[in-house]
Amino acid sequence: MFPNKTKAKKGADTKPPETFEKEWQKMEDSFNELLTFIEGGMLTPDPGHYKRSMGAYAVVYNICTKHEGAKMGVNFAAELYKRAKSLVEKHLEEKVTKQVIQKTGDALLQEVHKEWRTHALIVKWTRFMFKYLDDYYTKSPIIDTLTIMMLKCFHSAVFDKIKDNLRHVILANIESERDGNTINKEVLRSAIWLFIDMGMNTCDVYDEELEKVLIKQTKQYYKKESVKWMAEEGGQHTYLKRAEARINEESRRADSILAPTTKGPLLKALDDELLAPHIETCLKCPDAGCEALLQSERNEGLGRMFRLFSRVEGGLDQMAGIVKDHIEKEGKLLNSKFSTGSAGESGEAASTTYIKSCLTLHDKYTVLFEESLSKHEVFTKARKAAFEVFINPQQSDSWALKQKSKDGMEIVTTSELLSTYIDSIIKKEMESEEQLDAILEKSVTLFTYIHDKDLFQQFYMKQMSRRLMHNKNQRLLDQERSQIGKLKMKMGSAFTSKLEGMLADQSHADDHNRRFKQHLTSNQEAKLPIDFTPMVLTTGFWPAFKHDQLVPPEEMKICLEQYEKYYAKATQSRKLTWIHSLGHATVSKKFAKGPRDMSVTTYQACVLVLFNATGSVLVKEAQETLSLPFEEIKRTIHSLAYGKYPVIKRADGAKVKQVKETDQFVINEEFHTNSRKFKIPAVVKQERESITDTNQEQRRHVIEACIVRIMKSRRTLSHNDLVTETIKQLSHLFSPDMRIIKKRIEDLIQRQYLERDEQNRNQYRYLA
Amino acid sequence: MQGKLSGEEHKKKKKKDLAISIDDDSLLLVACRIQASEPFKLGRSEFINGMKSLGIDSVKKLKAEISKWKSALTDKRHFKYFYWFAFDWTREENARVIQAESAVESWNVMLAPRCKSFPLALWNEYVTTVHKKAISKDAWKSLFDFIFSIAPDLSNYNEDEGWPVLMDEFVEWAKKEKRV
Repeated sequence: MFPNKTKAKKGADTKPPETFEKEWQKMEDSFNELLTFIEGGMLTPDPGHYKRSMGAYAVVYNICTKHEGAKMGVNFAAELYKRAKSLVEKHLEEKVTKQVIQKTGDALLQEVHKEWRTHALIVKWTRFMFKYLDDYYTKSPIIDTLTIMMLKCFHSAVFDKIKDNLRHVILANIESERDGNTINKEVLRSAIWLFIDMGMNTCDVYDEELEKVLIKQTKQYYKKESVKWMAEEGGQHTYLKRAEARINEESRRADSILAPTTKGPLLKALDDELLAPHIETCLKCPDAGCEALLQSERNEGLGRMFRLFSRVEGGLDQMAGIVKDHIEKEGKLLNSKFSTGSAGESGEAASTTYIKSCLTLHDKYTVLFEESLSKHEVFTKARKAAFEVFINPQQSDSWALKQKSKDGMEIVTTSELLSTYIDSIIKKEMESEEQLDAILEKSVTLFTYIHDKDLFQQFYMKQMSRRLMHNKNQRLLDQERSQIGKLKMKMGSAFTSKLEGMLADQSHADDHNRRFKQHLTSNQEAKLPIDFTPMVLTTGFWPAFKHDQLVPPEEMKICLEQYEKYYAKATQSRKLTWIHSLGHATVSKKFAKGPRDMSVTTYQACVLVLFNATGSVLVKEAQETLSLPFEEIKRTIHSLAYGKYPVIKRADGAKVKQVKETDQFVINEEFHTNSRKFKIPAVVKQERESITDTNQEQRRHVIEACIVRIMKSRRTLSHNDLVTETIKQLSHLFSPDMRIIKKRIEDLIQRQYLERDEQNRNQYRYLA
Repeated sequence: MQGKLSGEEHKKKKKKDLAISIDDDSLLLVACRIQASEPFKLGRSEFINGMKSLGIDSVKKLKAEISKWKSALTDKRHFKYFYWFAFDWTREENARVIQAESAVESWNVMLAPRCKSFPLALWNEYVTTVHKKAISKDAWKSLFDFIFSIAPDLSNYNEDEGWPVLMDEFVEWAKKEKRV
């Protein structure tokens, strides 16, 4: 049969033997049976079909494994492959293509759906029949697997010819559904997935032929929609709702019929057309924009705005800006309410009303952030920025906090108000510890917004010192400790070390007193004439108190001396100085209408005791006997004679409320009040100025220490760098004024800690 | 400039000894070069040691050096150091600052002839009528750079460049009062 016995030529002219053709016929028959079978409409095969397929498989197997082809120079596998391909091609061209080409519109979709399904089955079973080829022949990289080969047949025979029409129909359907009509989703999906499958394991065909165009069409569609909505009457109000609805709709559609990779770009197209160009309009719309929603507290609308604008880059920043401005406005309003003295709740101190309303404002937004804005940090930052503006006004700002004083309007700081608020809360008997703790926790949040934290510290120290001296119950001490703990967490231990020292002194007071009493009994000293409880304050911890020269009455003197003796023995090298302005006493008197116990300050007590010696006291004499400045005497007598409990009265009976050096006072024997025990309040000096001044002075030292520290480590630094670094290091405590830093630098130059560089006057050098 | 008694007396003696006519400016120059430590005083040993270290051993040489120094003053750098030294010479004994009036006087003598464009008169007015406090060494020294680098209408003044607060306040006042 063949001319030579060496390598046989493979080629088209080499014919396979008859045995081969006979076997092949079996294959062709099986194939045709398969077609009939499928076209008959079956989906699941009957056992007979399976048997037939197995038979076909065996045929292929036998042909390929007999190696006869090699002897004859015929590659049986290749031949089988080629013929399988022609089978499929022929089938497609003769039956399928003709059908499909004729159809248009929805009919095309139906047809494609049907034919594609059919072809899938053909592929599946044909592949089974010729499976042996896939195990060996098609493993070669240049030969497509059976599946791919058959898909390619479909691609060239059917798909290429109809893809434009098909695409057109798909897009028309989608647009129709967008317009609100119902479509046949199943069939549509099938057509779309055809595009995907035609990519043969890649999305290339789908991306190029379908997705690209779909996205483009989507953009156009929504561009038009957005313009239409905006132009409608009241369109701005409903715009976002509609936009969200559309986005959800597209998302659902993408999930159900499109390739998963399309969803992202598709929704982005919507963002680009529906949202991005209109963000500003939506935000600033007068009745439905962000500001309006905040005003009427429509959290749901704000939530929607948040959801939508977080899809667009930079969208939230604009929104947060509006939120910040709004909060700032609300805060400034609170400030002016305070300054104009608009009534708060009756009986409540103005400071309490103000701080409470600040906390309420803060909470309102916490709720909004949690419920509707996913606690996104851009909003918490906006709130922080807003609070920092109105909580820290400059003196010249229109929203600065002011209070009426006898000299006109005085500037008040939040540092003071917050401290006063905490003071009132701790002193009040709260229902539960948790309640108290919650309020204090919130107040600390407000504290973090304050710039002048050192000023707060000064007020807090002063007020806490008074609290500790008046009230020694354990529960209060615990609350003080807990509050200090909170401050410590935010500011570090340096900030709270003095406060802790004060607390320590207080808790040791009882201890000391016990030992003092022991000392008295053991030394068999005479019993003290009056009940006496001293308290020792360590100087460094407590705020500075003015020393006075009070000459106390005899009874007091004895106690003081005894204690001094005890203390000198009990400790070494410590000096005791009595601060009588802080003390208080209980003085009893049998009035005409009954005995009364009066809680008074030490000064008040000393004045009252004067009346024991003489019925009528001359102011000037009182001053001299007690050795106190006139202002102090005046205030003390004023509180005893013209206050709520006038226990003394003017000798001349005049109905005036003044205290002059020449005035005489006598006991008001007719005095009466219902309660047996009562407190005579003393006039407290206005401390705001002195505390502020002390703070300013302290700042000078702090700034200087900071500058020196910086220069010591950096050796030489430019002016700007030094100032920037100083401000940075001090920012957690207070925000220093630029001029003040400059002044301190100049002072340090004068005192030769620093010098200016001779060549570059902008540069400073540290002088060791 | 006015000299203090001991200095003057001594100088008179010196002058007589050396028979030179020495004017105030030159005196200041000499003091500057010797780095005299006390205002308006030129101690005998200070003078002698100073002359030694400068290598001046005759009156003729001193005269020559003085005129050399005088011409050097046209150079701004030399004049700056000269001006800076003048602070120590002009202050009160043991004081670390100069009173406003004295400072203004010195400035009129030393600076006004050199710097025609800068409104020195305005500055002097500010110092004597508004500021009124004494002038520190740093402010004195900085004034030199100030008048030579700041435009007459103060437009290029930048507070962030580390000028003393006195200059900040002057510029603020001048602008507020619309004097520039």
